[in-house]
Amino acid sequence: MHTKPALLVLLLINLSLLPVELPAQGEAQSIELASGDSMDLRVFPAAKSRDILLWFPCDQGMGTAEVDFANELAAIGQEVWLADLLGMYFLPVAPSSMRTIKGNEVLETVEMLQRDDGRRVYLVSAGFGSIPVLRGAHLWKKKYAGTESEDYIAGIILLYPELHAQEPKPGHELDYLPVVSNTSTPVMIMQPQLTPARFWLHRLTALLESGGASVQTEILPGVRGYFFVKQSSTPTEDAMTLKLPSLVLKARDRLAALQHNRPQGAE
Amino acid sequence: MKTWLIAFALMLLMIKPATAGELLPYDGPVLPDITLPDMHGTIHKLSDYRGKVVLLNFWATWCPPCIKEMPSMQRLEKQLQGQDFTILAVNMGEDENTINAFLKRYPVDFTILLDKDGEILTSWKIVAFPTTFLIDREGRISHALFGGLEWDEPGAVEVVKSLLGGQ
Repeated sequence: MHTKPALLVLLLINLSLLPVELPAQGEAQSIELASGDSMDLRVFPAAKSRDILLWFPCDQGMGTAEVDFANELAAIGQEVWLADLLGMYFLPVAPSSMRTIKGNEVLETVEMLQRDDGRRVYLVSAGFGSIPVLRGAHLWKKKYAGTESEDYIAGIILLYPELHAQEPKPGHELDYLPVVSNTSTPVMIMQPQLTPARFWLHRLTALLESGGASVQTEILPGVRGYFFVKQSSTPTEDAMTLKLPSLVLKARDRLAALQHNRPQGAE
Repeated sequence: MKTWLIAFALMLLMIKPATAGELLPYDGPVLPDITLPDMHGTIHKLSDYRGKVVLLNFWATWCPPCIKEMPSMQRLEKQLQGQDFTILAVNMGEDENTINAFLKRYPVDFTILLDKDGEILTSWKIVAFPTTFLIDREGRISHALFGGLEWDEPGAVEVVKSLLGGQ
């Protein structure tokens, strides 16, 4: 009579003793910047990867989502480096923090990758994390214009980019940061459908293009901004989060095709 | 140690929730007139409401602070029933089925306008939801805010009543 419950208890104890598989946290690396600051990096290697995704987490800070994406991408052969900008400066998790980051951290990390690895780099970020990424790409172009290294940053992938200079006020035109119209590296924007920003995408695209950047856009249906870090995500957002690594790879491919199709001698 | 804990608790109290807005006097430019259909296809023109105080709200069904503030808008309208006050809630880019399903869960009886292409959203420079404007009897924008509000709380009611004048 009592054997069944006892067996069940034993089974539960055994299950609880099974090792729980935690996501790999990547190989720890760090980079000493010219300023004397040290930035932690996590490397998710994939030896056969043609290029590297250098991923800077958004203004919500380094979370489990980015680590999960990096693990999934590495598992399908795409190398990812995650860089913790907010953690380096002990900055609070806030949009305003990202506006204070000048972008030289991005420039110096790419320089290290070029020196030590050589595979081309695509920058990835989301939300206000787009600010230091664009600034870094701009600094790169300025420093290496006219050299073989000029196009070493092959493209920038931005999810729901937030690039305004200050907090918006009702009825006032949104004021974008100067770096938006100074960007000439190709950009791919993945914009959630459920956000007012989708109605402003044409303006952001035009500003980026005014600086010379080729811009491609994709609307992500049925999801809100910051969908992959939301605690109250919807089933559609959870499904989109699962698809995100493959969408990032598609974005990378579209940017790569742009480079490939560029006419000889084009600026 | 105790002092630090008290200081920390006070700091926490000072932090406003991200979704809470502050109703401030409007200091932006004059914005264009609005002509939009409601859920029944009737066309509404904002300038036709001159003589009334209008609470013009921009919202979407997927926006949690919009959903949170809607019942208080409904209560405010009820509180001011019989006075020259109306609410126009402009929905951003969603279809009637989505809005009808939402209204079954959150029944409100103020006017919902449809801005399917986001034309009004861009001309009114809307970059966050909810955004609300209070418009006085002369059709001038008096107050505005980004973020949600409890519209039947004394502070907000006082502002609306001051626009209504001595009714």
